[in-house]
Amino acid sequence: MNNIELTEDHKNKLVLYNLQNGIYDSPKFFNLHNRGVEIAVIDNFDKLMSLDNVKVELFPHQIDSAYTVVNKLKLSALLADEVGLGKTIEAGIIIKELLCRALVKKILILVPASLTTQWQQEMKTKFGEDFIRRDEFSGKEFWDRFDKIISSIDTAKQPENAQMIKSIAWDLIIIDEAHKLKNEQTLNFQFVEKIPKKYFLMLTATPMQNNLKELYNMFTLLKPGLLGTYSQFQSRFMVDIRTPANHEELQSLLKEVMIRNRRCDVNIKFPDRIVKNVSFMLSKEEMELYNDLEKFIRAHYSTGVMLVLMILQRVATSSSFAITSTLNKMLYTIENGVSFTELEKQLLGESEDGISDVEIVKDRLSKIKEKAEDKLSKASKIWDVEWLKRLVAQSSKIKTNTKGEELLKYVNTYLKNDKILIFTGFRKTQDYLFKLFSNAGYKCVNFNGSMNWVDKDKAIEDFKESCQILISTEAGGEGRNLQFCHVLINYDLPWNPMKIEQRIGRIHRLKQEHDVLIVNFSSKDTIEEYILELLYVKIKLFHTVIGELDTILSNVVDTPASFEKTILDIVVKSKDKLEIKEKFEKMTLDFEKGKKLYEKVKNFDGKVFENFDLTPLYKYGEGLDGKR
Amino acid sequence: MEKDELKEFVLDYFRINNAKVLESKKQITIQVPKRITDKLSCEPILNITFDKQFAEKNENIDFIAKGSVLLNKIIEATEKRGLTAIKCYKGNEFNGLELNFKVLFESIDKKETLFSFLVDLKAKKIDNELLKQLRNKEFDESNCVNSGLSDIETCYSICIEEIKKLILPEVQKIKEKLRIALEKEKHIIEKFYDGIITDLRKKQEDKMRLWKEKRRNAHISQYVEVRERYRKEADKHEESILELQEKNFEELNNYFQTKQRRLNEIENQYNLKTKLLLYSASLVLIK
Repeated sequence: MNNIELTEDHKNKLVLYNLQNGIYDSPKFFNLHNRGVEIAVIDNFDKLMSLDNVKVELFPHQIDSAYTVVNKLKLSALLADEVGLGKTIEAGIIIKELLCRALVKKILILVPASLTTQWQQEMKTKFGEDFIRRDEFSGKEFWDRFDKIISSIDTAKQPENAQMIKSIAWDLIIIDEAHKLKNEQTLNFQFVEKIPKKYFLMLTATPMQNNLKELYNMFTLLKPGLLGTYSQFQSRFMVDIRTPANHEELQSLLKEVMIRNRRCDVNIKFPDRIVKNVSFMLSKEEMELYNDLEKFIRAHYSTGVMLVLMILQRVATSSSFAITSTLNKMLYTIENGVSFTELEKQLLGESEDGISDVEIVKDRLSKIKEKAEDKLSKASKIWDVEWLKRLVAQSSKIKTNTKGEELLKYVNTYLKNDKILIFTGFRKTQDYLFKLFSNAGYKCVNFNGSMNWVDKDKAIEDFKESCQILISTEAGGEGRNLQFCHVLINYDLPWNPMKIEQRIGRIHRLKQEHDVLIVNFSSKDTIEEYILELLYVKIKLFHTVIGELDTILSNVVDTPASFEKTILDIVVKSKDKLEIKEKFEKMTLDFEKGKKLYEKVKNFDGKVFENFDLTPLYKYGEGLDGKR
Repeated sequence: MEKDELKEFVLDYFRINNAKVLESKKQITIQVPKRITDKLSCEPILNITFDKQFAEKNENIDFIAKGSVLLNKIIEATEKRGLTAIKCYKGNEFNGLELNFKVLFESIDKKETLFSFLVDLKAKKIDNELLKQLRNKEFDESNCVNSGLSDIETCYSICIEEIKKLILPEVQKIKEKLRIALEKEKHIIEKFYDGIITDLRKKQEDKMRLWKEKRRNAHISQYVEVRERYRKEADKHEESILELQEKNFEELNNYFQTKQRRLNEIENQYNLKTKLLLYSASLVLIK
């Protein structure tokens, strides 16, 4: 014991060499160096170093959870807070803490495909950490090359990726939606089990999906042996497959790796959401244009240039100005031989709406590129140029947009003195709305992705201090907190429900002091109306608890991209409006099923854990002397 | 480390590197020379603050605190300079060597401790009382004679022995804590895999027992048809036992591998590594 092995750093020799050879630096650099070392020194875990660097307001239960994980649970833990209490934030604090202490270098976050972008954004905006998504880079060397990686578990388990991942010694593995690893027979389970890891975090709001075997499997993956073998677990802790026994002993074992904050424990109240839907008839000319655009899209669906068609379908319900601009860009590509990729880039830059999701774009581009490039030389054959020209002429004639006028009327009547955040998917529509409201005497400011950060900050500051209306494209939906405003208008409705949730999340936050009013505008007899009526009004997606939507959505579709594709498919593959309605009804049923499944799991999970106290063992700031 | 000390450190770094620092209440604007923007991979104009509330209201301003990206880069940059220096003081003649060490205790947790020693070059003895006295004393750079030193290794060894003495109680405490935790973890793993193997064996034994029973029945029955039925069943059962045995061997192999991997991982996690870094040293001359 007395013989202490001290591994000497290679730098020691350099310092000694300098002394031996009279190589001295200026004392001011010497002092600075010493002060730097003193600042960076890691003395203990009693204080979380990362808290000062988190760019989001933290709640005590989130800090307590992170504190307990790093101090007591030895960094292998299941974070199982109820939905909406910030499991991702807790994981983020832990990541940041471990990075601050240089305890981790290689981090791999495995999440469902639909959440990769969201995780990346949250890590960047809330914790200032740059993670790379697997879909951003190809090649086997990716896993070795980058230290902080986010990937979908389905991509990661593909043989060529899995082989690489299993050959790397990871410092930290994080699994979101960990309940998907409930079955030990699945590839997912076996893959995760074999990844070499130092620290391991699993996140789920519902560790108990159907039965106790699943709970056993998850805990065994996290800490093999904690609950014994399955036969031991059965005899000690199960009355039957759905009822736990030996309550206290089981609780004390679970507490060694699990933290579960419940809403009733943390006493957090979200403001209410009040939803108003405003629908109106388009003018005769507008309706004709809309129908003609739909016909055009149907006629060109087989060409495979999906992204362009999707944008066209989205813009069809926005404004005549955005329609004209999009059509002109399409014409321009034909007349000037601009590549499809360039056209898509331009249209996406223009649109900034729900489908400008990078993930989807990349996915689409990679799939259609070859096909599209092949068709590049024959662009004029893909598009019916004369038809496009007719559409341009048709849309250019429309100078008054009913939707805009209706919006103005609504604001004049109900929101004359309120601060309002208006979302649109298209920059041309944004400009149009800016003019419309400015001419009506409202002080407005625009916010979009083409602005640099100085201008963006100024726009937010202006909105806060002096402007009544902020007109934003989707760029405003990311990362910015606008809780000083409590009215949000969805002028255009994204097709992806998660995008709507992100928009609402800008103002519907824990620190919001008022109930939040969400106003959705939709033109009758258009795709907007179907989406709003069927998905949002009937399913009441606007009223789901924060964080529940992604779980429900993942019960229904694989990714948001496939959800949007389904919508476009419905529109273009249906013979008439009746068939469209029928297909939307069917989609509603799928959603209802997904929601019911979620409710069922939530109820079962809640019932099993009802009498368990799994709140964090320690309270931050009160030291590690006394457990709760 | 107080906030003010942190702020002074950051601002001193920029000032020493010829950056223009403009302080306006809580916001500090820094015009960073190209040489430093490359080093820190930062913008030429930095807007920073040390006030968290102020930063929360101004999203374009970088908040600097322990653990922030910019601070980490600055610290990294300072570590590349000022490894050694000469410090001259006025007073009773003394030639010494100040050696600054960082000891890192790393296992599943991580902890660092700093040690500084002033070694009398003549007496080859540590004189940390004098080091304390010199801490806040002004030193004069211009009078210093730049010379190389011999017998540095001896001073270095003296310090290492002293460090070993000083950290011994801490190391013992940590090691004991880790030993207990490791035993607990190992016990869980051993018990778990032993349990699995027992389960596998039991499953096989149960099947064997059943097979023996069928075989016995095949022999003792007085009816030919019954004997024949039991014989067929026993043959079929024998095949399934062979299958199970094969499966069990494979599983056993897997479990042993996984168990060994887990044990290695855990032993590695709970193994205390003590590392020593001599991060800076100075020649101290008093005339």
